[in-house]
Amino acid sequence: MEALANLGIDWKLLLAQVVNFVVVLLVLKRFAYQPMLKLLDERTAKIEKGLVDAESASRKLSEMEMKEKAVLADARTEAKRILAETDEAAAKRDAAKMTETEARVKKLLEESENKIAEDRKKMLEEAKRELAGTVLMAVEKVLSEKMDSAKEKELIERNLN
Amino acid sequence: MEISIAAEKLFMLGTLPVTNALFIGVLVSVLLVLITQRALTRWQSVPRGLQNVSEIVIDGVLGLLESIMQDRGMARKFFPLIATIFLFILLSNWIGLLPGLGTVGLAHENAAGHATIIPFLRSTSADLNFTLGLSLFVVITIQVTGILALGIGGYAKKFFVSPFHKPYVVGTLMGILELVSEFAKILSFAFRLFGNVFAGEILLTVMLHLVPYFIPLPFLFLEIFVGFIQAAVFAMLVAVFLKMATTPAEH
Repeated sequence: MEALANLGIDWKLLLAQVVNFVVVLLVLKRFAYQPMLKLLDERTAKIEKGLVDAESASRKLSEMEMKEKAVLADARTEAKRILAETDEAAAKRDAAKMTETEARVKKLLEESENKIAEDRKKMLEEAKRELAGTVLMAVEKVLSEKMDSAKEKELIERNLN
Repeated sequence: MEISIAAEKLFMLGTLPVTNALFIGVLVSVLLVLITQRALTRWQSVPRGLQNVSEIVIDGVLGLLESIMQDRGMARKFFPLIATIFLFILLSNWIGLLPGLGTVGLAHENAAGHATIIPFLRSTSADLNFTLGLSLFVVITIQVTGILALGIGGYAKKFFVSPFHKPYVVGTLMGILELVSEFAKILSFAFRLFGNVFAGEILLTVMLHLVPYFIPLPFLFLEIFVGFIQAAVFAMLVAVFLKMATTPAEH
């Protein structure tokens, strides 16, 4: 005990120092380390979440881009298809109209040809008839003689033909 | 120049003699609490200033503990103890290095009749009462942790080995040696810290008395370094011993 006293060891002081240390330990544990660790953990969690979010966002973005490309490509082919269809339909319609017109024109031509032919025939007949009457009258006048109608007719026909 | 191994008494508080080392111990405690609270109240998600320092200390100590204990949960459980030991010793070591250390104090007349002063500042670590008290506390904590982790039987197996099994008498002797070393830890913890810090203070005092200007500077830097190293050594040894205490015996 004498040796301890020589080294300045006093159990009261020793106890006081230990109590002091333990009080600091408890206070720091409760009011410093726990909140600090909590804050650090929260930040770590936040950063990790941020990283995960960023990664998922970039993945989503690339997915979107891919989807966009696909949609654009689809739209392009669709547009091409529609254009082609329209072209085809238009061509078909044009062809149909052309044949119709042709047919109508042909019909009209035929009709007019027929009519011309008929008219000519009619005119010829009329002319013939008129000519016959005129000739008859002229002949009557020239001859000033009456013939029997049978003879007359025969004579005219013979002359005419 | 008067060098005293014991801390000098400032005044009596009831029956408790308040020494300068105890005074500094209380001062260090208050400082620690104030600094950490200040760091906490200004805590932001983007660290600045004091918060950076606190984060470096916390992250460093926690990382070191995890590497020593190989167990995240255990590291976090013992983190407050290790960090407080480290910070408390570090701060008390460094406070003892403040200039004017031995010059401000109470007037005193020693036994021989010479007028001297009792300095207010004496590093807490340069007082055996503190180092011995802390090492007792730490060693008891280590034993309790070991018993809680392994059970009384499992923990006792570390020290009491039957002489009739594989390593025979060697194992038994090793066990007894281990038991002795547990008690030796108290002394080694206490005197390592006390010796380093006290020697440093004496060294600085002697140097200051020999050559007052410039020459003591390298020694001052050396003592700053030693103060840090001793705090780290104490804290690391506690961590290592805690890990060893919770590891079952391999017999």
